[in-house]
Amino acid sequence: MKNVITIADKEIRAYFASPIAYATLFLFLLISGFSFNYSVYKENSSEMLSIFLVMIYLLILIIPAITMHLFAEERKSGTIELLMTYPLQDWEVVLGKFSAGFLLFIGMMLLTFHFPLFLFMWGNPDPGAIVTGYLGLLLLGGTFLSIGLLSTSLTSSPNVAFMIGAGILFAFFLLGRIVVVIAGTGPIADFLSYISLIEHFRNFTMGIINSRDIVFFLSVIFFMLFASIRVVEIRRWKS
Amino acid sequence: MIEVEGLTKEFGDMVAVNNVSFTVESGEVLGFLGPNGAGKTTTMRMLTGYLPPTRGTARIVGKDVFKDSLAVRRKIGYLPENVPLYQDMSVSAYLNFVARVKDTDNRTRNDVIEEILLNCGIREVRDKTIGKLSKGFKQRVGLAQALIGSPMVLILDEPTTGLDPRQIAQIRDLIKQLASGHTIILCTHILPEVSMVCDRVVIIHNGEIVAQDSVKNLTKELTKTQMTYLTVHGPSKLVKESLKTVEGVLVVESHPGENTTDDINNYIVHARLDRDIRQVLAKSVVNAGFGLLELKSHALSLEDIFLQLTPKSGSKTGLH
Repeated sequence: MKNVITIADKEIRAYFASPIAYATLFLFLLISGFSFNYSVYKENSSEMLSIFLVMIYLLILIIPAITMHLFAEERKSGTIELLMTYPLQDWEVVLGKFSAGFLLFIGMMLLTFHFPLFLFMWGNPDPGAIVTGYLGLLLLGGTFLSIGLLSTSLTSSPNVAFMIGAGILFAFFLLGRIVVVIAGTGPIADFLSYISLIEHFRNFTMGIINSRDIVFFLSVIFFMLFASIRVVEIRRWKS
Repeated sequence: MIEVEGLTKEFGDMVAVNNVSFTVESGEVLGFLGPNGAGKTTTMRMLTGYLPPTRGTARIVGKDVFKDSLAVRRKIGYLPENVPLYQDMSVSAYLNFVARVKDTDNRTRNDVIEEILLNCGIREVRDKTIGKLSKGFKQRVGLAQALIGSPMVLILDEPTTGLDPRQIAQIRDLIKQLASGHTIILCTHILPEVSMVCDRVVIIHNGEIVAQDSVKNLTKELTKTQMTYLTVHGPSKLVKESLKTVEGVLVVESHPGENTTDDINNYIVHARLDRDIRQVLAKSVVNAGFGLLELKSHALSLEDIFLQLTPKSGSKTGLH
C-alpha cells in the first residue's frame, strides 16, 4: 500500500508540472459553466441533471486525456524500463496511477460545487438528488478512469491510448442512445440498457441510490483494473 | 553472486543473445564489452527482469531473475543505457521517489540521499528540473538512483557515454570506490576504463561470448608474438630491411604515430617469444648507422584484443 501512495504522489506531481492538466481543467470548467448558464437562464431549471449530463459528455473526452500518458508515456520515454525494474508489484503501479487520476477527478468535481451553491442561492433544488448525483458521478468517473487506464496500458503511444479510451467510452455512450431509439422492451433492449454506463447513472440523478447500480460500477472498475494489471504483467513477459 | 547459464533471447527469428553463460563473484567488477548490437543491453535487461529470457537461467544472489523477479529487483541497482529519467521532476524529488520505492528507512532516507548527492557530484543541481540538466548531470542522476538503497549488485549500462573526460574520470573513480562492497557489471565501449576498473571482462559479439577472462590473461593468451615499438631516424625502407635481418624477427610493420617526419618513423617489430629481443634490436639499429630514438615493449592493448575478437561479420574470429 505504501508503494501505491508513492506512485500516486509521483503521478499527481507530474500532472501539475505540465500545462495539460491545467488546460484540461480549464476547458472542463469553462464548458460546464456555459452549460450551467444555459440551464439556469434559458431553461429556468433548478436541477443539476442537465449539467451533470453535459459534464459526462465532456468526461468522455477529458478522462482519456487525463489517463492517456499514464503508461503510454512511460513506454515512449523509456522510463518504464526503470519502473519495471524497481521492486514494485504490478498491481501497486496500476493502483497508484489509478488513484492519481481519481484524485484529480475528485478535484475537478470539487471545483464544480459552485453550481449547486448558486442553485441553492437562487432556487429550490432537490438536495438529495444533487448529493446522489455527485455520488453517481464519482462512480461513473471512476469507471471512465479505469477504462482509460486499461487503454493506456495497451500501447506505447499516448495518442493511441487516448483514441482507444475515448473510443470505448463513446461506444458505450452510443449504446445508451441506441437503447432510446429501439425504445422497446425485450431482451436486447434490456441488455443494452444494462451495459450502458449512463443508464446506471440515471437513478443517481433522481435521488435514488440503487445497490444494483453501485455493484455495476464497482464491478466494471474492478474488472478494468484487473485487466490493466494483467496487461502490464503480460507485456512484462513478452517483448 | 551472479550466475548466468545458457541465457538466450530470441525476437522471432532473430537471435539477440545466444546461449550466454558467465558468473560474477561477490565484490567483483565485470566488464561486459562488445560492439554495438552485440547483445549487451539485451543481456542486462534479462538480468534486471525487464525482458524475459527465451531460454536459460540467471540467478542473482541465489534468486532466479525470472521466477523470483521481485526479490532480485530488491537487490539490484540498474542504470539503463539511455538513462530514462522523469523529465518533469526535480533531482531531489526524483531521488526521494526512488528511495521510497526501494524501501529506504524513513529515518535515514534524507541522509542516504544527501550522501548520494555528494558522491555523485549533483548536490548543486538538487532543486533543478531533470529535463533542464546537461547530459553529464543527467547521467550522474541516473547513477545516483541506481545507488539508492545500497544494492548488492549494480548493473551499469554505458554509464559514461556522452561525458567529458573529467566527468568520465569522476565516474570511473566512483565506480572504483563502489567496487569494494558491491558487485558490479559494467557494460561499456570505453576500453581504457575497463582495464583500470574491471577485474575480468566478458566480450560478447553477435550475441555470443567470445572471451571471458581477466584482461591480463586475455592479453597473454592472444599475444602470439613479442612486440617491440621503435622510433628510428633513417630511410624507412632501409631501416625495415635492416630490422628484418635481426635473429628472431618475424615481421616488421610501420606504425603511425607522433614524431614522424620523412626521416623519422615508428615501427612495430614482431619477434618470436622465446628470447627478449630488445638489446639485440638496439645494437642492430645503432650498428647499421641509424639513429635510435625510442625503443619499448609493446603490449596488446585491450582495443587490439577487442578488435581481434569482434571482427565484422564475414571474417573469422581469432588470429592471423
